[in-house]
Parts: sequence; C-alpha cells; structure tokens
Amino acid sequence: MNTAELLNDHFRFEVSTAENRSHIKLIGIIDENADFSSLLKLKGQNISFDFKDVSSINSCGIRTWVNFMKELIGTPIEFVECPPLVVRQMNMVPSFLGSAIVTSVYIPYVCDECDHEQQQKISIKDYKSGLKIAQTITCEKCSSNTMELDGNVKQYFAFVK
Amino acid sequence: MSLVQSRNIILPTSATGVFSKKEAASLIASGCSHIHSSQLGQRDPLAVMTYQSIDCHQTACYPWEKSQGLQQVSLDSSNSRYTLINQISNSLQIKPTTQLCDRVTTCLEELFTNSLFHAYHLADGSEKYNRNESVVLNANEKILIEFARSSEGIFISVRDFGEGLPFPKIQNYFRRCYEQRDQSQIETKNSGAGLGLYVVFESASHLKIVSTLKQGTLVSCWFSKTSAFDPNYFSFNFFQGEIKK
Repeated sequence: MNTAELLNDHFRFEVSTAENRSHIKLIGIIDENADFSSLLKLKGQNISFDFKDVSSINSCGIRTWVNFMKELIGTPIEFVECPPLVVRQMNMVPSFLGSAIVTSVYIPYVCDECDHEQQQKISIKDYKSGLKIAQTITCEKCSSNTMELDGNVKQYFAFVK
Repeated sequence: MSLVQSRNIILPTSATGVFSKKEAASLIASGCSHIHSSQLGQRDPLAVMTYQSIDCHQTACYPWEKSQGLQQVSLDSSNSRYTLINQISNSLQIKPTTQLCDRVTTCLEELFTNSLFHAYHLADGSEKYNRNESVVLNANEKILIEFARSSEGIFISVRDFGEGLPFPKIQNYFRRCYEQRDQSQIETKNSGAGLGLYVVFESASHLKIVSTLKQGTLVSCWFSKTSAFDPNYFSFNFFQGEIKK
C-alpha cells in the first residue's frame, strides 16, 4: 500500500506498508498546521517514522507531535533517519520521543576548507555497542581531511538512554 | 545558591564563570539577568562591557551588533514569515541543509511567532492575535529584523513594538523548560507551546533581550559557526530600558 497525503502547503507524509510495518515518511515543515490525526488509525500496529525529509520543526509543531505521540502510547514505534534538526528536538524536549525507539540518526560534518557539509548515517544499535564516532572525515567535495564533526558527540547523543 | 557562590558575583543579578546552559537557566530562573560564561571570569571582555553599561544605566551593545554589512527587513504578516526566513537565509548565504541554517532559521521562526502572536495585547490584557488565524499587523506594529554574517558566525535581531517582556515571565519560562523534563515542559493552556525562548537560548551562543513595558522587546542573538556548545563563549543578558537603534 502506498498513499501520499497533502496536509498543507508546507507539510505532507507518505505511508507505505511492508513486512507488517507501516513506514511513514514525513516531508516538510512540522508546525501548528501539521495534522497527524489521520494516522491514529495505525495505533497498535508497528510504525516507523522516517524524518529524513523534515526541513523544520517549530515549537507549536513540537507540541503537536508530542500530543500525537501521547495518543500512540502502547504502539511499537521507531524513529529512523533522524537528521540533526530532529536530534536537537529529542535532546531539548525529551517527550518528543514518547515511547519510540530511535533506530538511526545522521551526524553532521563540516569541511574547514570548503564549508561543505555532509552527513553520515549512524545506527543507534552500533553506537550503543561502542561504535567510535569519527571526529574528522574526508570531504567528498574537496577531498581534504579536515571535515570535522559539527557538534559534540556526548551532547549530540544525549537522547540515547 | 551554591552554584552562584562557587563562581564570581559582581552584582546580585550577575554571574561570571563557566556554566552549562542548564546551570545558566537555573541562575536565570533564580533572578540572574546577566550571565557570562567564560574561563576569563570577570575579565571576559563581554562581561566588562555589560558591567560598564550597567554602571552607566545603559543597554550594552555587543561587537556583533555593530557588524559591517548589517541588513534590515520588516515583517508585517504571519503568512509571509516563511518567505522572509528564506530570503534572510539566502541573503546570509547559509546553505539550507546545514546545522547553522537550521539553528538560525528555527530561531527566526520562534522570534517571529513570539512577536506576531504574543507581543500585541488588547486593552483588557489579552493577546490581540490568535495563533490559529492569519495575522496582518497594523502599520505601528511591524516587526523589524536586522542580520549580518561574518566569518565567525551570524547575528540576528528581532524587534517588536508590543507589550514588552518582563523578566519574571522569562524566569518562569526557564523554570518550566529546564526543570520539567516531561510533558509539562510544554505549555498547554496558551496558544503557543511556550518553548520559543528556550529553543533560542539553546541555539544561540549569545542572547540579549531588551524590553520596555508598553514599548516592545528586542531579542538579539549571535550564532557561532560551530554547533557544539562552548561554555567558554556564551552569555545571556536581559536589560530593562530604552531600546536603542
């Protein structure tokens, strides 16, 4: 099953189902106009929320999301592909996570030479197992080795219990 | 308070030392309106500027507020805010997918909505505009924005001509946002979520608020290029007084 729902000018989501799990891709800006009520029918099922294409979340969007998570208590939920802006919300507002499990996040690197930013996907399972997060990587744009982690690992992964 | 006593206090409402954001928020909640987090303590140049301005009964003007190439725009409606945020972001030449862009644009959104929906009140004290409706401000209610970029970071300021933001209200914000880590962290009674200032405080390296009752509020922020919180380069200052151009 694949459905796309246009919710407003700034936000929409796409739902697909595979292997007994609903995968919900969130796209755009989560603000006071974001309406998740049509997803409540999935309560009790396995749900993955994919945040990769969320471009912004404002404080009213946080509240809307937290209230939505509250409605889904008891539902097995995982957050996948969380970009830095979603990780920031999880660290600032712990209830943003609700009872969900975070499966993967992106960590940001910025190149000192050319200012290029690239993100690396990290599995939270690997991180919990002791994966060492590289402080510097090679820039895919200018090939310099001065691409540094934009942030502090401890601060960034503070949401991991 | 032991936290304060272990560091330097110049005035009853000021603290210098090295603080985490949570410690600083705790100080603000307990009445501290000037905090300079730096290993230099009282010798921190920004702290010196703050104390000199307090001595002169003036509002401090920090180096980034005098940036070269300062640009000014205004906001007059809620519907135009996302377009304006994009314009500012483009003018600042920050790449849309970067953390710096996210921090700056998120704070602009929070400061815009605070000014649009919460700054202007009716005669009975209730908020004039409803968050759930489109707002077009009157000519005397416009919101003024200044911004600039340097090699070290980005400066933005947002000024409204509303009711003003009394310090006790800020204390309450910080108390709720930092002491409550469950759903009570979020405001449910009002039209806003009550997280805007918290988001700005967490995102900016330096935050200054100037407020005058019935004349408005100016929020001025400096964002370092790097996203990692640096406890050696962070300040919060609240001034009650004249908002200077």
